[in-house]
Parts: sequence; structure tokens; C-alpha cells
Amino acid sequence: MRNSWTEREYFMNSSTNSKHRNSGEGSSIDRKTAFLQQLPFFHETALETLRLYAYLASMEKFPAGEPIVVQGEPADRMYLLISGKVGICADHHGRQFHLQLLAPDGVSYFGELALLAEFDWFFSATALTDATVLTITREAFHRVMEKYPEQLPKTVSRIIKLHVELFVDQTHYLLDHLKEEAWRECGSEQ
Amino acid sequence: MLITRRPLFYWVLTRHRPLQLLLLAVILVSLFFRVFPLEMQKRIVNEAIHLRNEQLLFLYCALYIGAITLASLLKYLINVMQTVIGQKILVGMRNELYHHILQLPLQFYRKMQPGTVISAMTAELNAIGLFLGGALAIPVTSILTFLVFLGFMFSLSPLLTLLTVIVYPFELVVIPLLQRRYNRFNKKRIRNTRAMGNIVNEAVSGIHEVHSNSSFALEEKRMAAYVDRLYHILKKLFVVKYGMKFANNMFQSFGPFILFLVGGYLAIHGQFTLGALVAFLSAYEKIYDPWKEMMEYYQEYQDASVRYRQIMKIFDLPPEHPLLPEGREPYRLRGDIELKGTGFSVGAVKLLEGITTRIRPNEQIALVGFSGSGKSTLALLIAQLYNASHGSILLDGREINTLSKADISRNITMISQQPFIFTGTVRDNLLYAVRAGGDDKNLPDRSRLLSLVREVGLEEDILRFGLNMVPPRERIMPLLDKFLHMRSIIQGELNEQFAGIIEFYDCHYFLTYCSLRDNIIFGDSLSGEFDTEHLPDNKVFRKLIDERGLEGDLVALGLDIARKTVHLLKDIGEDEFFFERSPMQADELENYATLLDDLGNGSPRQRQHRNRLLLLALRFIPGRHSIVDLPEGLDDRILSTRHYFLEHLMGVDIEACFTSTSRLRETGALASLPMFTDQRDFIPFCPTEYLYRHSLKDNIFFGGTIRETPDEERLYAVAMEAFARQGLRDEILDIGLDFEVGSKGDRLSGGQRQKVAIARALLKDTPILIMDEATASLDNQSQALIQKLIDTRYRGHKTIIAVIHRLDLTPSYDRIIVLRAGTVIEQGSYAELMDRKGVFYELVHKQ
Repeated sequence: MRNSWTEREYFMNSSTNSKHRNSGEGSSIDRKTAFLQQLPFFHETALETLRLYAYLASMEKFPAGEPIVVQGEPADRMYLLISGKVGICADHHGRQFHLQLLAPDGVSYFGELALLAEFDWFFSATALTDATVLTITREAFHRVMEKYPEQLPKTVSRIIKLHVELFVDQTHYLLDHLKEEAWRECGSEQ
Repeated sequence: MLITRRPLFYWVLTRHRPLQLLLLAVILVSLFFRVFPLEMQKRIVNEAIHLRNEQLLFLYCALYIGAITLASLLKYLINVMQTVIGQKILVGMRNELYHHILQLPLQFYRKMQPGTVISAMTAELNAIGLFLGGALAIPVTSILTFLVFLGFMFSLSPLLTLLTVIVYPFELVVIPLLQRRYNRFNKKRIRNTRAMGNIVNEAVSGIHEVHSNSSFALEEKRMAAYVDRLYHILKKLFVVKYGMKFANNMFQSFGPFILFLVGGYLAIHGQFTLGALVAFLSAYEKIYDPWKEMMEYYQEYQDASVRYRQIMKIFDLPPEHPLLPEGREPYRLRGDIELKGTGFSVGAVKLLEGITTRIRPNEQIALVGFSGSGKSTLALLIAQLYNASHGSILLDGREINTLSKADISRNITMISQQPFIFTGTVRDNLLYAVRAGGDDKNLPDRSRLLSLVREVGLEEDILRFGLNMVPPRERIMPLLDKFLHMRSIIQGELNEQFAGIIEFYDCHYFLTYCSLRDNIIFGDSLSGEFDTEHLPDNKVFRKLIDERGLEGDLVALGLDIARKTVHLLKDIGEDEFFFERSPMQADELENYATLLDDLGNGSPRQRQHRNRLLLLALRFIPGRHSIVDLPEGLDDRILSTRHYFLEHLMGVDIEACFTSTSRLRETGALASLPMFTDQRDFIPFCPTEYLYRHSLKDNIFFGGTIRETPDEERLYAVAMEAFARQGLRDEILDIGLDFEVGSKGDRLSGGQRQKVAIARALLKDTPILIMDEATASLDNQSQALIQKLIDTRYRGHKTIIAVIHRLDLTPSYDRIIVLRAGTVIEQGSYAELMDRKGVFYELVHKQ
């Protein structure tokens, strides 16, 4: 059962506790835009489009241990990690295998393919520490692309490049953590 | 006698006789008062004036005016009575005709356009009504009047009388000739009007085709042709009609001409008194009235006759089966069906031939076959909706065409592929078949209705309908405790699950997922005076925000929202998706853009501008509208304004509200509602309150929606289960049954319509059930559900004949009959037919 904090808890806490909400950084669209601008993915995107995505994006907080996405459920959005650490696991023959660690300073996103196609999550993502994410839904992405169709080919290619990066990072992570005996060098196929 | 064979005058002579006799009496009396003034006229001239007797003058004048007044009053009474009688007869005619029409066999309706039937039952019958009232009275009166006046004239001068009356025989010849022409045109007019009605009916019934093919011009052309033709027919019709009037008038003018000529000559030669001449003239003029009335009567009689014939002709078919059995109660059959060489042909085409088989009581039969193999036809024959052309069908050993409709409907229920759903509530539709049995006192009780709804798989849908309805106050009041109980379950027992998707109304806190309006007003007004759109002009509200210093902040917030929304979305246009996160609506973008242009960089000063910006702020939901952030500190000020508003302006017991909210949150318990005998207008969002203008869902979940997630479905299921445990779910279902399904059930999906039809049939609970592809529009899961229902619940209780397309549903049937080109080519159980590896086997493998 999901129990993520949303903007509400964020605001609730700030009104009953301290006022760290509006620390003079401008409106939340500005904050989200600023965050998006830092991502390599959005480096070439026009500011206006970026603001639109920021407007359509939602910010969510997950306490440590909460699942963010569950393998098998329909995938409908991309997740961008603002803070905290997220672990990626996959179920294989009934056992959960840890595949990757995501952090804001490294590869800090997942679900980028959900923007392009309909499928079920083929892995689970869990917040290892308290984590804050920014999500963009497939629908929002499609609607924006409908308005700016000339940007679509470039954007698709960027998404695919992102996925490649993610996959490469995952492979390296796995190989780093596997015992050497388990390695199977190419040429020795069985 | 069959209603359609009755002559028009049957209705006149056999209905409302006392009233008609009364009318006759009144007419006769008025007759006297119409002749009397004539005599007075004569005397006035001959006696009073001639003898210079003022007394007599006054007397006769008084009598004259008295008689005329009375005659007029009586005429008024006669007109009214005539119309009343006519309409009364019409009532009888309509009801009896409808009774007849409804029973006409299905084949009739296959060829008949609804437009024709409608036109016949309504407009065309209307026209006859007018005639019927005076059908007896007018001719009697007119003839009598005519004869009386004629007699009077004869008493004055036989010669003159004969001379002036000579015209009439001519008319008796000419007029009927013209009338025959008129009748021809009249018939054409009726046919044309009916055709027009049919075209309109077709276009409207198939309006989605018209729209999707953009065939507007085509349809208009079709109609225009008929409109044009109608115009031409009417033109000719009235030319003839007025022609007759003209002819009549011309003939009439000869009369006075002759009168003056001959009468004057006689008067000059002293053979005729002046008084008599005057009286004669009067009488002559007066004689025209009944003559004219007879003429008009003749025309109207022809008109009405033609219309009447036209109406009755189209329905002139005897009903195939009597409604009720004669001299006995309807049978209760066991469900034994026997077909002996049954065949059905339409013209030369044989749809079914030589069907011979026996179906035992409680056997479950599947009818399968290729398209056009006659499966549906066979089903219709067994249901007595069609009549076999050859062979016989026996139900419990009795020939089916000896059975009355009542026998059939008590024992056979048929579910067709495209069920007809009537306008009304779901409940009305479910009970339709049962009510048709005429037994309004033995309607199934609620638990039977609900269990059937469950069995056919409609429960989810009905629950959803119920949750989204806003039931009227009278409906809610007896169940108030139950709904509040549901609310307390959500916030108590199920708090953990729901806290993530609903922000419960809580008087202590500012609510992030509710609008600013909800946060300030924190309640609902039954009269609507505190609705968001009315607030800027509401005096109480105005005073409130001015006094609390909120007005400026709210307008500033509205301005911020307007600026950012317009800036961000002006190039996007009016796409609603993009406006979900702003309180501005898509179609308001342009207006606000103009407003901002007008303001430039300045702040809004005009009241009108400020109000429009205020509206944006009031609609703003901080948790959803990410376009701006709520300014620092505004939430606290809004909260305190709310408390002030509730306690001091609305007189709400705010302490009680606080207490009950805290208690609910902490213990999950809800204090029972204090009973208010007087209806208050304002209802705050306190846990003990019910919001009558909100849906059931809003009242049970009682809060703002945090987000719409796929989890929601699962959580609703959890909630419903919790309610069911307390016996509360049935209340929601009961309310859901009041959902209005719209014309022809168009507010229901195809699957829902079919499930309603199935439930309706099962409620009727007859020994024989015939299903003609009744589950065809359902999804696989629902089809399986219904199939399982038949297999388990109804096994051994009903004879079932199911026309089935999906062969994987057939294994559970006792016997499968395979049809091709109207004959039975294989029969047996599923296992037998598969072993045989014949036609059925092939069919199964093709699927």
C-alpha cells in the first residue's frame, strides 16, 4: 500500500513546523524548472518548453523503504530523482535481485521509456533513503509533443540515449558486484 | 367487430348517448328562439310601425332582443357541448385503437414506419374529433331549422318560396362533384404528410449516421421534395374548397335578386305587405345558415370519413392471438416444447423447414449454426412472436396458436440481442417485465432485486451510479445515520488506506486539496448563495473579506495566476488538459488575456476586473494548481477568517465541530446527528453534517481528492467490502437503482443495457427462457458469468433455449442443435458432437 508524501505533507509540515517552504527561490514552477535545467536530458530544450514540463510535472516524496514503482504494474511516467537514493530490483524466478543504485549525482532517473510506450514495469524501484522525485506522465509528454511536433524526433533520440546510458550504468554496476567466478567471457558460450 | 372495420358513425351513435340527446334538446330549444325574432320583425313593421303604436314597438323590440340574446347564449352552449362530446368520443377511439395497435403481430411492425403510426395516433385522429361532436346534432338541427324557416316562408307566400328555393337543387348536383375532387386531394395530402413524418423519424433515429456521413444536404433534399409536394397539394385542395364556397355564394345571391324582383312587383301591386316582405327577406337570409351548415357538415363529413378510412386501413389486421384466454386462467406450463415438422417461409423463401424435435422440461438447449441458418427465427417461433407456416409447435402438448398472449407471457421470457431499454430509472427497467404481468402488488422486494443485480454482474456499475448521484433530501433523511456511519468507517477503520488519497475535511486545518473558497466558506448553502461564481457579488462575503483584509491579497493572487497562466499557455490554445493545473478554464484564456492587456503593468482598480481576478483566487486549489504557490502566511489568515465566518456570521457551533472532528480522527466514532426540525440553509463541512447538494461519494469520503491513482479502484473495493459487512452497501445500491438511463438507455453502455435486459428477464422467472445471442455485447468475463449462472442456479429449474455464437460456451448445455440453411443437421451433447467430427466439430475448430 502506497503511502508517499505528496506536496500536501510538504506544505502541512511547513505550516505547522518551520517555514522552509518559500525560502525565496521563487514559485514552485521556477524551482522545478531550475531543477530540470540542470539535467543533461533537458540541456537543449527551450526554456518555454521546460517551463511547460515543470508546470505539468509533479513532485513526490517517498520515505525510506517505500516502493516507488512495483514490477508488473502499468508504467505511465518518468521519474527524476531530486534527492535521496533509489534502488532498482528485479524479480527472477521468485527471487529479488538488486540491479542498480540511483543517486542524484549519477544516473538519476528511470522510466524514461514509459514516455514513449505502454508496458508494465519490468523492475521495482524502492526509496533506500528519504527521496524526492519529479514525475512526468506519458500523457503530459504526448500532449506537449503534439503542440511542438518539430521537437519530437530529437526528443525521442535523446530519450533513447538516456536509456542507453542507464542500461550501461546498470550493466557495469552488476558486473562490478558479481564474483569473478560468475563472469562468462565472450567466446566461451555454453 | 374489429375496431378497424367500424364505420365512422358507429362511434357517434354508440357513445355518450345521453349527452348527445341533451345536445339535441338544447338545439331544438334554441331553434325556437331563432325563429321567434322573425315573427317579431314582421310584427314590428306591420303592427307597431304601421299602427304607430309605441307600446307595441317597445314590446316587440324587447322580445326581439331577448330572443336573440337567448339564441346566442344557447349557440355558445351548443358549441361547447359539441366539442366536449367530440373529444370524449375521441378519447375512447384513441385508447381502443392503441390497444389494437399494440397487439398487432411483429410482421406488421417490420414493414410499418413508426412515423406513420405516430401520425395516425395523434394528428390525424385530432382532426376527426372536431367532426364527431356535432356529427349527429348538426345535421338534425340544420334540417329542422331549414324546414321550420321554409315553413314560415311558405306561410307568408308559397309562390315566392318556390321561386327562391329553386336554386338549391342545382347546388345539390354541383357541390358533390367538387367534393369528390376535394377528397382525392385530401387523400394525397394525408399520404404525403405521413411520408414526411417517416422521413423525419428516420433521420432523427439515425442521426449519428447523418452526422458521421455529413449527409445533411441529402436529408434536406429528401424532405424538401415532400414539403414542396405538400405545398402543391394543399394549394389545389384549397382552390377546390373555396371554389365550393364560391359556387355556394353565387347561387345564394340569386335568391334575394328574385325576391326583390318578384316580391317587389307584388308589393307594388298590393299583393304583398311590406312587413311580410321584410320578414320574408329575413327568413330567406336565415335559411342560408342551416344550408351553409349542412354544406360544411357535408364537407367535414367527407374529410373526416376519408381520414378515418385512411387511419383504419393501415391497422386493419386482426391480432393473431387473443390477449387473455377465454373462460379460464392462463396456464402454468412445465416447459415441454415439441416441434413437428415446423417450417417458416416469407413468400417463397424458406427460412426454416421440417424442424422436428422435443425439448423436455428443464432441458438446456443451445442453438448454433451459420449466419442466416434460422436460429433466431426458430427462437421467435417458440416465443409465439412469429407464426409457423407449416407444421406445429406444441407447448405442454397444446398447439401454440391456441394459446393467448397471457399464456405465453406467463411462461416464456425472451431476451433479444438488441434489448430495448425504456426511458426511466434502472429500477423501472428491471421491473418492467414483472409489472407487465399486471401484478403490481407482488413486485419483487429489494433484496431479490439486488441479488439479481449481483448475479448478472451489474453490481459494480450500480454502485458507481449510486455513489455519483445526488439523491434528493427526502431520500437521504431516513438513511442519514447509515451514510454517516460509512463516513466514520472511512475515517476510522480505513483511515490509513484512505489518508493518502483523500484529505478529510478538518475544521482545524487549512486544506491544501480544497479550493480557497472551500477553505474560507467551509460549507455549502442549499440556496446556492455561497457558490464560488456568486461570491464576488455576495454582500456577506464581500464584507467578510474586506473586514479581514483579505480582499487585496486574493485579488493579487488572482492576478498572479492570470499572468502566469496566460504567459505559459497562450501559445498552447484552449486545450483542456493543460488547464488542469490552473484555476482558469480553457475557454476563459482569451478573456483574461484581454483583461491583462487592458491592465498593462498597473494594478486592477475597476470592480469588475477585481471580481474576475477574485474568482480565480477562490477557485485556486494549492495542492493541485501548480501554476503558482500560495503566498506566505495566507493559509493562516484564511483559516482564521473561516473560523470567524462560521462562528460569528453563520452561527455554527464551532466547538462542537472541532470536538466531533477530533473525536472522529482519534477514535473513528461519530456522534449521532442532532435533529434539526427547521431546515437551515448553510451546512458546514463538519463530520456530523450531510451535504445535500453533493453526491453520495462526496458525502461518504468527505474531503478533497489528493490524487487520482489506479489504487483508487482497489481502495473503493476495500471500502465497499467494509460497508457490506455493516449491511450498508445495499443502501448505495438501492440509490444506484434510481439512476436515470436516458432515452432508449443511452446513458448506459451496451454491456450494461444487456445486463439490465437479462436481469429483467430473470426477475420475471418463467419456466421457459429463450436467449437470442443475449450476451453478445458483453465482454468475455461477463459472458462467462452469465453462462455459469445459467449452468448452476437455473439448472433443473428452467427450460432454456439459447441461440449462441461463441461455441466455447456450449459444453455445459444438455443438447446442442446445429442448424444450416433452415434445417437441423446435427444434434447431441457437446461430447457426442465432437466425437462425431462433423459440422459442429469443424465450426469449433474454426473459432
